[in-house]
Amino acid sequence: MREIKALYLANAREFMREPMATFLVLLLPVVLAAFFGLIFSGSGGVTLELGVVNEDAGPAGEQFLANLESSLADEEEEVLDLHTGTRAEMVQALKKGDLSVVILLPQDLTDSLASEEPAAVEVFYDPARSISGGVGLGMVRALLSEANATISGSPPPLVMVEKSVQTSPLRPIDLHVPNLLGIALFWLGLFGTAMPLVQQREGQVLRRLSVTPLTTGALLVAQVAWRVTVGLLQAALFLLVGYLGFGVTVTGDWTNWLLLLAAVTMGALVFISLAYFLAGLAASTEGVMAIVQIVNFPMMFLSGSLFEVEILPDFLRPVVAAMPLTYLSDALRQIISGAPPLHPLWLDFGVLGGWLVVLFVLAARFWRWE
Amino acid sequence: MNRTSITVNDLYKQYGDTVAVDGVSFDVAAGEIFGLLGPNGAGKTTTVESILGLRQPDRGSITLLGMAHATQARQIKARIGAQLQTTGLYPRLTVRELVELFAHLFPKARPTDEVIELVGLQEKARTPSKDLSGGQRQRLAVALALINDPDLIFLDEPTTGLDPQARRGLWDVVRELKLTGKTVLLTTHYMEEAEQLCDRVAVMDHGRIIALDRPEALINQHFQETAIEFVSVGDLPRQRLTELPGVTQALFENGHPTLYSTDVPRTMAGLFDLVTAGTLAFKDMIIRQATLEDVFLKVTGRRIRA
Repeated sequence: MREIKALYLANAREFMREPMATFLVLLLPVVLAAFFGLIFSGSGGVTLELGVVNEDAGPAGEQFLANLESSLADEEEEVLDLHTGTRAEMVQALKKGDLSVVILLPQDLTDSLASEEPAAVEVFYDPARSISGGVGLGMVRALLSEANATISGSPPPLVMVEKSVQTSPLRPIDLHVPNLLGIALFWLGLFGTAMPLVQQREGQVLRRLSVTPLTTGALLVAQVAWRVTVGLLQAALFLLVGYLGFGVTVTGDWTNWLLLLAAVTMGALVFISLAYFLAGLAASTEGVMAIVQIVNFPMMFLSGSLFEVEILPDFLRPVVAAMPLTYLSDALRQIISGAPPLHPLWLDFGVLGGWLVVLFVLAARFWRWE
Repeated sequence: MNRTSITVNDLYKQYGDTVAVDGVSFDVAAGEIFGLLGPNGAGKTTTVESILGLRQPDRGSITLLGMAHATQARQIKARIGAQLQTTGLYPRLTVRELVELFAHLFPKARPTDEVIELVGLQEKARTPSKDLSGGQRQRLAVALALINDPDLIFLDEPTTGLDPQARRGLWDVVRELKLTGKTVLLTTHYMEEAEQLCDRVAVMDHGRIIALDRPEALINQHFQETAIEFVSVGDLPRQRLTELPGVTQALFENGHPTLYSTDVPRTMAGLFDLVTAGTLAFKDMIIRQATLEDVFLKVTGRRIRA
């Protein structure tokens, strides 16, 4: 016990005195959370920049614009920004990326409507910007069908009534805090465990320790215990920043706090085991840095922690479904913010437990002291 | 003195095609200071690290304090102290923190400050290990080897990289260990160190022990002669040098002759005759007693620090 305490302290001091590790593991994620919270503190929706060119000789074009403006004024959230101008100006703005879509009301719009001929309304978009362009096209389609319905004078057979399924509305920051906490625990493994381990091995610290009566078990307990402590510290920091900065609170009663403790500990253990495995694979500090990056990017981007996995192509779905961070983040979102579950909590914990066993076996299999 | 601390029997270790240790056997008695002397690559470190249990030898048996690594590794480790050739330490911990850490890894330990003082690092007690000089690191490594008050101490090239003053300081530490009845196994490639400190020396080359005895016995056994060394300028009349009066043996190494003479005045007279005759020119002459260096040179034909 004495030796575990002494080694725990040594690990803590070594960690706290290493500015890079402290920054990457403790501060950066919190800074990111604050940053994400600030830029997405608004509605969180996408605002579309719509350009309208009215070349209509008659009054119909003006009427269309007036209707559009008044309907926009009714919207609670600002989803559309309306710009008007000449065809040349608008197309130029579209090319520069200032506009998402441009609608061209033709010169003969009023005449065609009067003669009940179909009028061709041209819509310009930039296929290179698929998301804003695609959403813009959909919105224009809706606008036009609305306009068609108005012109034909028949009441719409189906009307849409928007209803959120959430009892308490979730803001983006309520998702960013648990998501980034998941990433922070992941980085605790990569940057706070795998890299120092290989450095210690290269520096022959572990070799020197092996000429003392210290058992491997005691050494592991001390190293892992310190890092789980860091994980819990990270969770506390996140919740504090989330609460003080953005009013994010943990939902539910004390059982949720227990679940949170369990999830953070479990997540830390999974990624620490991953780190021991990676450190075992790498022959040198350079090697482990490469391996860390190879693991870092896919896990970060494909786990649904930075953006929702729905926008990923189908062939990546099995990868998403395999990532341990997917399940940790899902669990943390549910526990901290009461977010809608991707998987039931028991499944999240189950998959994490499965990963822990697999990684532990791999870590033990590939581990080397020198 | 008749108890045996270390028994090494027919130790053999191979790395790939290179044989690092080729059938080494020796015993170290309790209370003895035993030296492994040899050039870099002679197999000293591999021998020590095998004895410490850091390397698995391909063949041979090792007994430490009557115990074997296979069955009593922890008991052995509690009673030995080791300064490895390269000692890895937590770089950001201070000298005192490191000594305290190691004190906690053993069932019993000497007082931290006592050990720090013993190696003369009081001034550096609050310095992180990464900011120590090479010599200071070495002394810290020795302090860590002594923290558990071990019965058996391993020092692998303890004075390499130390300045002469620090080296003498470390010799004092080793002599004190001997006074308190400790057993020390040390490796070195400094002849003088082996002669000064060791009760017995095993001279190693190419993974084998080529001579093993007390230092003065080794010298006496090989030499009753005085060594005459000089640097020749121009052609070397090898045959003539060998035939000089009083010369029992002449060794040539890179045009650098060493003559072993039982009669220095007559040999010198013969040398000057050669100079007068114009067959020899030389500079930088040294006349000295034979040392372990000469033993090594005689047995292997090479200098220990080539």
